[in-house]
Amino acid sequence: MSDLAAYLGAAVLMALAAWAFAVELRGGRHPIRWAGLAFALLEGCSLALLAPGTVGLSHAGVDGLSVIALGDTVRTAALSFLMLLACLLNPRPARRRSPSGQAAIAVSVQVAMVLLFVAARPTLSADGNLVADPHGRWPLAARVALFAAYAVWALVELFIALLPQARLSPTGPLRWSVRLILAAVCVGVVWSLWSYDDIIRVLRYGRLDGSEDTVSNILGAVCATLVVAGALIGKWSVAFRATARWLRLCRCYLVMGPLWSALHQAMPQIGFPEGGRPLLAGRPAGIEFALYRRVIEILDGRLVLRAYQHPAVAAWLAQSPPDAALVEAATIATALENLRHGRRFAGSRESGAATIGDGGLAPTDLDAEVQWLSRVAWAFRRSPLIPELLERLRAEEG
Amino acid sequence: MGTRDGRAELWRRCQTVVDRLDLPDPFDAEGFIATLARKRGRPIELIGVPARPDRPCGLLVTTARTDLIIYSSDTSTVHRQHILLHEAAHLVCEHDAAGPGPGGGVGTLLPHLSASLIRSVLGRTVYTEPQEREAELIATMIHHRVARGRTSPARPVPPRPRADTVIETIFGRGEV
Repeated sequence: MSDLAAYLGAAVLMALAAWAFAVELRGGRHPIRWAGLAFALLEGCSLALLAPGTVGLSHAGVDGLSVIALGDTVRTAALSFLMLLACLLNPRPARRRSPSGQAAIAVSVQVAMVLLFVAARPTLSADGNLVADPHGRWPLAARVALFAAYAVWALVELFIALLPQARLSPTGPLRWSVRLILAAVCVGVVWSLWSYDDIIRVLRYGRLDGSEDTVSNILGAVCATLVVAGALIGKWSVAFRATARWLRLCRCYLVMGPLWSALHQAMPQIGFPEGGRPLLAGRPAGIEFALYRRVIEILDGRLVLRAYQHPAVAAWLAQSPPDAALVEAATIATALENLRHGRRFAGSRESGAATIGDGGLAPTDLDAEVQWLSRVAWAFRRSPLIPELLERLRAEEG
Repeated sequence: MGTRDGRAELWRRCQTVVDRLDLPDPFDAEGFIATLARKRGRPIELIGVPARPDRPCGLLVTTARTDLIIYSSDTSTVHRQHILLHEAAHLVCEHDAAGPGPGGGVGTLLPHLSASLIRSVLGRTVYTEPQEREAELIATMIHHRVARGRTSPARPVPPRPRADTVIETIFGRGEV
């Protein structure tokens, strides 16, 4: 369980670092991204190094003590990059620490950690515990406390830097991204404070679990998952919205198909042969292009049909529930029938009979037009009233 | 032009024309036509008339001193804008220089305009004429370019406020 959590957290963080690296290669260099990338990579490496499975590889010739020392060093370096990230994200430049100050703190902590490790003169027991020299309990306890304090300090700085972003980010996925990362920071603080039992154990028994315990590893995995979820929710929301829009446009295109076909069959001249283009060409652009052509061609056909629209259609539908799209669909269907029989109604259009957008429904942009024509097309194809109206038209006009 | 190569060539040519256009931002056809008129040094007059079955929904009439775009005013905004763009595309491609003479019901629309003053008339009716195909494709491509947010050929993207981009800064922008 402990190994699984540690290796899973390590894998997640390293994948995140690889992704950030790929982003960095594509786009412009940005110190904030490099700091985040370095933190994720080093933290992932330290999780893997300090996993019980890695520390217990001594039977395979690996020096467990060196692995622990290396893992601690890597994790301390990760914290230094986290501190740098917090500093870079601080919205108040005046309160940012200088790069040399950052470096001085990072080096000092690393040196202190190494010195305290050496002073503790630990050995690694067969069960994977670090056993301090009888005079080395305090240095080892101080080392654990120093690491926890450094981690809490970095996390608190990051929390303070991120908190205003949560308020200033636009509502929606981006704000949730910041919130999830703030939650990850809080879990990180708990993870760091969890080491208090290590301090007590070192002082009391002179022993320290060389690898992370189960609770620590679970907290680490939760922390990594929250960071990744925070990163992905902002990233994927854009992709999700684009995909949803593409699907909506495809649906509208298909819904309009029968209406367009009926108009095109009756008036082939409305079709624009050069507009024909594979639907998927140019990724989302293909459907946008095709849908726009379909809208324009339907509207062209609708203009031609004005001379053929029967002036009484709206009155025939007066007893059904008011639905402007149904009236429009019925007007088109009866006008097509009249076109086929060459029946023009001289006074219909000129006298201001029903037309697209009558009744204050005139679409003002393409999205509104698409929605409107989709409703009309759906009624044209699906409404049971249309065949009834056509029957009535045939009966009355012969 | 019906061949695949001819169609591809038309697409390429029109795309080149559209890519070079400087489109107003925010975009509307009337603003674009006003810009075009300034560039050409000739006034372009827009005349909205009710649609009639016996005449095209858009008409470009070129006289010695001015260009007239006659369009159906009683159709939807999207359609009206497209008709205007189609007629403007004729001017962009300079079809007016080689267009057919008076006709297309101009006399009934503009009775005060002597036929001798009219140089050419282009009507948006069917797409059998190469000029109409070209103008229609350019109008569609202009709309497409505007819809994709590329109103200016080489407009730099303004920097976005820092507060909105923390996540994007760390993990890169999520644009698709």
